[in-house]
Amino acid sequence: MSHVDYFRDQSGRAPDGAVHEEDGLFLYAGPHPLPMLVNGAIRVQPGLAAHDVLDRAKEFFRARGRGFSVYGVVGRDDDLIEAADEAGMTSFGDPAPLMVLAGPPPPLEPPSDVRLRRASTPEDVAAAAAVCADAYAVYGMPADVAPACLTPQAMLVPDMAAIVAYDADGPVATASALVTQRVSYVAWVGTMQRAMRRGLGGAVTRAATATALDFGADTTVLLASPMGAPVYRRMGFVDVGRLSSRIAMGAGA
Amino acid sequence: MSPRFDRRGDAVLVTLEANEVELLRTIPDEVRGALTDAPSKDDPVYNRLFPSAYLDPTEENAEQEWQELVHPELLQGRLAALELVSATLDRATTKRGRAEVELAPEEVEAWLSVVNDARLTLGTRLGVTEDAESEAIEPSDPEAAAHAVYGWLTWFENDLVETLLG
Repeated sequence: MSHVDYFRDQSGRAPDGAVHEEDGLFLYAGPHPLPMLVNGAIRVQPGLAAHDVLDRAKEFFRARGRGFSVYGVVGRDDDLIEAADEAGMTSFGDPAPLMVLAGPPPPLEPPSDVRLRRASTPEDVAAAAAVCADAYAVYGMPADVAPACLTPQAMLVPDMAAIVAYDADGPVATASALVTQRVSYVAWVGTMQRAMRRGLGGAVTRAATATALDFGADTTVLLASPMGAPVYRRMGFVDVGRLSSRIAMGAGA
Repeated sequence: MSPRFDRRGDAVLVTLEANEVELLRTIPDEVRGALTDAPSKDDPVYNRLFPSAYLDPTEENAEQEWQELVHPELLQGRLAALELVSATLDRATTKRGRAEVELAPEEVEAWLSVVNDARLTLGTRLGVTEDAESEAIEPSDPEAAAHAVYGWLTWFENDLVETLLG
């Protein structure tokens, strides 16, 4: 449920954010209207009827003029995904691996011309946002989403381990890990397209994970992208499930 | 031993020495045993391959439900990957004493899954930790051969991932 903890924290800190948790359903509206990732519905009580999840999510997001994502664990929430399909929601890629790493990651140094820095200033946060805007453009994410999500209010908080990698020309990679209840949840891992294929994604993820352990986490959790999954498995992460998502593009569609 | 990986569009051409093919052929049976033999939450290998999804001990019921509903799909995916690795090795051709096989993207994914599971299984049995990973093993160590295989699996996985990223 670290996925829920992460979005509860981050959406709660967003200026236009909102979180609603009631009767087994977690709804969150983040700092940007993008339906994917930033606005979502998560069934936390598996017995809750699928149509109830969808009806309440539609009502919540219609009031905000936004689309949203609904998430379901493959094997546990198949009825919910089926209901979302029947409701005309859109599939967005294959289910994403949910991964866990107990204990520290193996050492992984960045190239010698790159230095890693824990984000501790608004400038570092802006650098992380610039990196993610560039990196996530590959997946079609609009350029204003990362700067809306990665703000000083959201990132410069005590339990957030955000790392930014810089080379001589500026920021090149970033990863962040939020610690809640001794579990760190890794998010916003990205590498500038100009700096890809240098192992930077692994290096910043490793650094964020290790820093989160210093903050009291003993386990790390993440939702992997197709490109990232082999890198995380190589670091020792293990799959514990797969998360499907379906998107309602229009406002409470 | 020096496996080579060459990108061919979305596919990867793998070139293996005979002893590497021999080793890879043993892996599916080894991993299948670790995945399916008398699973027990007291077995460190089983716990490494199938860690808990709920980490709070008070969420035992949720964890049990997760294992009942999600574990079969995970296990099925891993067992299917074992079959795919065996099938791809069967179709390898030999050129100048080396085996070659071209892997489609889903086959590359299966190889990575199986090699990673083999590495985790062996590493757990050997007690490999983050600190111990770089320690030299004496040739006289009774587990020296197993450590050499672990090192090769790590290197193999690393090289294949680098090929995909490159």
